[in-house]
Amino acid sequence: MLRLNGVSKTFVTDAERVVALQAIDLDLAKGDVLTIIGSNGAGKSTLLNLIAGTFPPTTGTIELSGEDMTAVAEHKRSRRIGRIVQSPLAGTAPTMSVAENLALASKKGRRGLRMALGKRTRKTFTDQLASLGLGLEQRLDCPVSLLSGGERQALTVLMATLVPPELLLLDEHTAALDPRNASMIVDLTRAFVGNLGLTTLMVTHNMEQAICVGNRLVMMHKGEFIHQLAGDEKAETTVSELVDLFAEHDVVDDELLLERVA
Amino acid sequence: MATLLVHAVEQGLAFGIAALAVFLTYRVLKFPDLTVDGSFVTGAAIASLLLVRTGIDPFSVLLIAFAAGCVAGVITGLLNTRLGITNLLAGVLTMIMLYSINLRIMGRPNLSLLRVDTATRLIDQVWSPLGSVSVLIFIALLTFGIKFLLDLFLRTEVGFALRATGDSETMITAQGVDTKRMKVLGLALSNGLVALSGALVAQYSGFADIGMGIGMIVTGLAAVIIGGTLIRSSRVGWMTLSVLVGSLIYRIAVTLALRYGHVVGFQASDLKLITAILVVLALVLPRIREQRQRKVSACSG
Amino acid sequence: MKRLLTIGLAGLLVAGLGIGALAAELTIGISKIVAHPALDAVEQAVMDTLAEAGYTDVEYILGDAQGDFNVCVTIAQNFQAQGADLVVAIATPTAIAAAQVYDGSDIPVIFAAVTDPVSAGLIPSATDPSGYGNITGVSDLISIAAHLQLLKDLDPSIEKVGLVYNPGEENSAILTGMAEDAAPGLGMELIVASADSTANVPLAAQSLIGRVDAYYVTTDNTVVSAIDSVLAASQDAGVPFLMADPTSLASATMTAGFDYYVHGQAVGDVVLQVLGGTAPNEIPAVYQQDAEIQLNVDAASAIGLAFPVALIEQAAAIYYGGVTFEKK
Repeated sequence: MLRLNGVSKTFVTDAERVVALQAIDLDLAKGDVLTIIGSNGAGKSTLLNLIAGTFPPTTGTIELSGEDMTAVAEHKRSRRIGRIVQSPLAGTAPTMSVAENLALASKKGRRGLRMALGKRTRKTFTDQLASLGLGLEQRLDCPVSLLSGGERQALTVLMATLVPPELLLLDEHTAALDPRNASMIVDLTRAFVGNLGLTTLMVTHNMEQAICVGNRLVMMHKGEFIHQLAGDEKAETTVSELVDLFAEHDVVDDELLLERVA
Repeated sequence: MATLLVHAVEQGLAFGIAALAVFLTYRVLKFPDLTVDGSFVTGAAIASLLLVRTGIDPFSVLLIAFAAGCVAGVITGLLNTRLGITNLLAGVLTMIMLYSINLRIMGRPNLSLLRVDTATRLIDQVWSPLGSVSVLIFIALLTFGIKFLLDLFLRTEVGFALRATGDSETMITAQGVDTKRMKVLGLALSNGLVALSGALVAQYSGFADIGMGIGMIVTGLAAVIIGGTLIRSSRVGWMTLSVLVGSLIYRIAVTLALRYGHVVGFQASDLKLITAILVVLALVLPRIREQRQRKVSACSG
Repeated sequence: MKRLLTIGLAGLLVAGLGIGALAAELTIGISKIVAHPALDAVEQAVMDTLAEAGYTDVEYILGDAQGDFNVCVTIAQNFQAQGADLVVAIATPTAIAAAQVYDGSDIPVIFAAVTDPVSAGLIPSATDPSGYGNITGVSDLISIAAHLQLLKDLDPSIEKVGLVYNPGEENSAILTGMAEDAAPGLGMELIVASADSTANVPLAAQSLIGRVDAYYVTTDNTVVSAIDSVLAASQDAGVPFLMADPTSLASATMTAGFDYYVHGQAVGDVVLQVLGGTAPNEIPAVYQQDAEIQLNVDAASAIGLAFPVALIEQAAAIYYGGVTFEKK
């Protein structure tokens, strides 16, 4: 599904050269759900940005379903790659209503002069929102800016999966939420990913999430993959074992350690 | 007084088309577009040139003016999206360019339409049974027609994408929309409407003058802000209506200032001051009323 | 507080209506595009001329567009709503707007300070008395050829004449075009420098230094506002500067043209004719005749120039030692 060949990224400014990502190879099969965990500056976000097309790689190629995407513009990739970021505010258009946001997400390709919201689409949206269990179906016409952070992120999850993408990128999408909403979003994510069989990359700071979600795990540090787990081996790993693995690679990061309490 | 009000409404609606255009860029696209001062005159210039030199009918001339305005908008859009020039500067640059271009089109700074069959003159003749409100009805039909088309457009898939571009570029990019293209489209549409307004106003006033666009962005913004303060809604239909209401209030303020300014001891040269004061009053009075009531929305928390 | 405001506004409205109801014998609307010494002079002159002729019970509605072209129509509509019996419109845009509003009406529209009333669509031709219905007036078209001839009279060796103007001003553009046409016939060449705003005038004037034998400026509002910079440039260049506005004598070497107050009096005369019963389309539009020459001896001495005796004899006024001496 997704293949990265020798992908690296170096940021060059007048002052310095920063190697954010060293040459990475990654092979993701259809239906794989990969969690990525790592210390700050490990290159997790850079990796996701490269795949999404926010900036081009310094070296290497990125293939999606066999097609070379390396030179394709971000908005074009967005038609096939879904993305949810940390800020619950970034995934929705604030002055537009819940229904209007969903309408925006229900079309990924060519947009024409057809009416974006009709009676039938509203009914569909009502049903889909009801399945979230947050009461959002009562607030179809409310501007999204009036929703809470958790509600907005839940809506973003729904929007990202409305038209099932070939690849779903999740960039610490629960990190800005309180524990209750965070776990709600994780459950929601799991449900959608599971039901739709979406190939997913999830970056997280939370070791427990990293273990419980998905069938593969990768640990990153200083722009490289330092350890990979898959299948049963991954499922049976405990959080303290993960911490030890990090320590083996001389990674000491308070944030990572604190997260395991959550 | 009644005829004065009719005239105020005529002008309020004619300029209202330009106000709708400013609404589109400033409020919807969140792109402050200064091209307006230039493209307004472009519309007037092209319309006047065609009416004086060719036999094209005054209504088609409005459409041609619209097309010319679109071109102006595209220029600003390309300056911004392809050359990376900031929105304000891009608009200013196009506006400056248009000054010379408009002079070239007109061939002189002022083009008189007194001896030419303008739209308003024709309507006056052909719809004479309607008497003194014939021109008003024509302008109202035109302006509201444009308003409804705009409302419809903003409810299409492309319209939604345009609105989202102004609301959150990151979000809409993640939904697969090319924001560069949206900006150019929005600017083209907006300046097309501004030029159409200019073409209409020129025919209404009887002349096109190279200086008639000066301050158009300010008048447009005034209408958008006045309207937006008086009618608060996130529904497209109400928003565009509020813009037209704002434009009407502004024109009525000017008319009242002219008519009654001297009563309060103002001189002819105080026109702009009185207009501003009346606008402030128009903005403040509803606020006083609103503070008494607390509206409960079905959407809060 | 709110009640006070409402009562206050209501009171104002009643007062306004009341004052409107006390109709004067005669209501005349006078509009101008902008407040400017020349245009203000016309306005004043019209009112003075009427007063001197015995019209004392006149309600004047004065309109000043303050440079906003889009207000011109509203001003004229206001005149109409207040029942003006006659309208005087000063300057081209205001005149066209008035003609537009009063199209097909019996109310006379008298234009003033319009350089080219024919191309403005106000009158069919300069001499056709059967004008467009209710319109007639006075034009301030300058005789450019006569001015250029003056430069020749001053110094026959003058060939290249520098002209600073604003191409965005209708009157100015017309006059510049006329100057370009007239120059070759007098063995002269016109070199123009354009300034689209008052701030750009000094630069435009300086750009002509060393390239021209004389400076010339017509009745251009933009340039007139920065006239001293043009004089300064001409002095730096050591050449004379002819200005087509007598009120600017202290800022030029020589001026030729008419006084706008006199122009206003001519307009007032036309108004009197109309009030006396003559129909506007029986009064051919008047082209103000250029009157006087004025000489600035101070500026001339500064560049070592002496005026020929013939010119001194023609002059209507001399500026010397900072004082203007007028010939009786």
